Amino acid sequence: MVQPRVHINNISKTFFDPNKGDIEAIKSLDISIQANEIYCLLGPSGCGKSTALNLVAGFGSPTSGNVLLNGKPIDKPGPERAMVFQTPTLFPWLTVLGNVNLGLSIGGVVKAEATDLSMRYLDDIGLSGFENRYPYDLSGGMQQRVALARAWVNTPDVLLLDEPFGALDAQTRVIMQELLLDLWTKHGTTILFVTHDIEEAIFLGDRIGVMSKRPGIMKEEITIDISRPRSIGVNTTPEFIQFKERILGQLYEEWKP
Amino acid sequence: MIYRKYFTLLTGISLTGWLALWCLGSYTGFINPEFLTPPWELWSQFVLMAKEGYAGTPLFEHFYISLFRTLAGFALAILIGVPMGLLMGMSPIIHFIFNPLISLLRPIPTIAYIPLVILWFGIGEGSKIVIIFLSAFLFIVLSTYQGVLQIPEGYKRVALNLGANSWDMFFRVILPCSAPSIMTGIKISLAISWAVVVAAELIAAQEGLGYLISDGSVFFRLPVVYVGVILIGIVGFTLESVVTKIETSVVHWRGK
Repeated sequence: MVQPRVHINNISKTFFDPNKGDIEAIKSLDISIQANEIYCLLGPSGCGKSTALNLVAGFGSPTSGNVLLNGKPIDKPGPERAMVFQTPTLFPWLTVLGNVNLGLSIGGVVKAEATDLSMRYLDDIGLSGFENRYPYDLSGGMQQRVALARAWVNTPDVLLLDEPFGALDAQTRVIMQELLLDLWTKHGTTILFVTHDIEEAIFLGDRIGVMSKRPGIMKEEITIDISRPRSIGVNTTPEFIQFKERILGQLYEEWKP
Repeated sequence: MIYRKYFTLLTGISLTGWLALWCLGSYTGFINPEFLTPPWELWSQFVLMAKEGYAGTPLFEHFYISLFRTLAGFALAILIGVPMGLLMGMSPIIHFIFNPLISLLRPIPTIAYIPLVILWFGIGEGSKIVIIFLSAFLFIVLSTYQGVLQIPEGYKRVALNLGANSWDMFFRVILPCSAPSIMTGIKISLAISWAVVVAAELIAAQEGLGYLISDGSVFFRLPVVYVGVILIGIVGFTLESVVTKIETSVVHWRGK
């Protein structure tokens, strides 16, 4: 069997809350993500999907189990697991180029080389010409594009996205989803994408992991065999609707009090 | 918006207006010259002092010595205060050691230290610089420390995610992110330093703009007092403008 790019190896995570005692956020979660796959982790809010992503990123460690990258256990954060956060969190004291360069610069890449690479990614995200602007000159959508480039420019083994488009308006979100697929087609990256948006998960994913509410366990893994390249028109096709019905049914059980 | 665009022009018009009112009031006798010297007398007093100095010292010396004392104490406060504030923000142990002492000392007005500082350091230059240092230092430490505490967790996570070590974290996140707060501390403490130097010179000095005022009032030389007061105002205003210029270029992202 092919070794998975990322193996979330039977992890559980328990937090301690001074008022409520131990809280089990994730229970026995086991996911294997293959190279160049887009895996969407979908679940109701508070199901532990972001916790799982943070553990893959290396922010904190699981109570039991471990996370393997190319077969090796991870122990701390690193740019080979570059992350895009819910908010852009660009550094306001750096230019757009400076922000995209950040990881390369920390990694000691020669400046001219880093700039060259960053400029190509800025071109990919449609922001060439903005390299010397500061984040406060950019709209929310543009800022999140820069955050995407800032992570992607490090050519990570796996790109981690934590509901990156959740705060954007509906139109911008669709544009960003298509942009993500374009970049993925061009660069061939393994992606772990956390979202609570069913349509987003179906539109982007090769596979979807549907999680239950707390403690988060895997309810079902669904393979989305809708052909690529996908554009937004795919959202109204019968097969798309079928997936949506199926997942909605799964999640509805979780929403009910 | 219009106000911003023509800021300098409008400021000039406003000040000219007040000056004209002052001239008019003095000329018509509405303003008693015993309390407020007419502008033209002030000007001739200024010219006289600029030529011949005051109390055996050139006017420039008085101005220079006050400025020197301020900047020396102030620079010392930045050099020690900023690193200390950063350390307190980053290390709970250092915070624990120094914060209670600083909290206790902070509410004491620096003027209250003057007799003690004279006792310890005499009435030479040292004591004045120490007083300036004390008044600027606590402000700079606290605002630097606050700046470090207010760094959003998200920035640190971004840096960690991209492979930052402690060195990167300090130079790429902590220092730039606390810069606006550091600049605020510097700006406030410079204004305070300038006010305190004058106060210190009122009490114990043979030169300086504070001494000028103090001596002028003892001998009831009202024009001398006013020249001193106006010079203090002009220097204070200039210092603040310079720091504001530096601030807007260094922390350009503030408020955006």
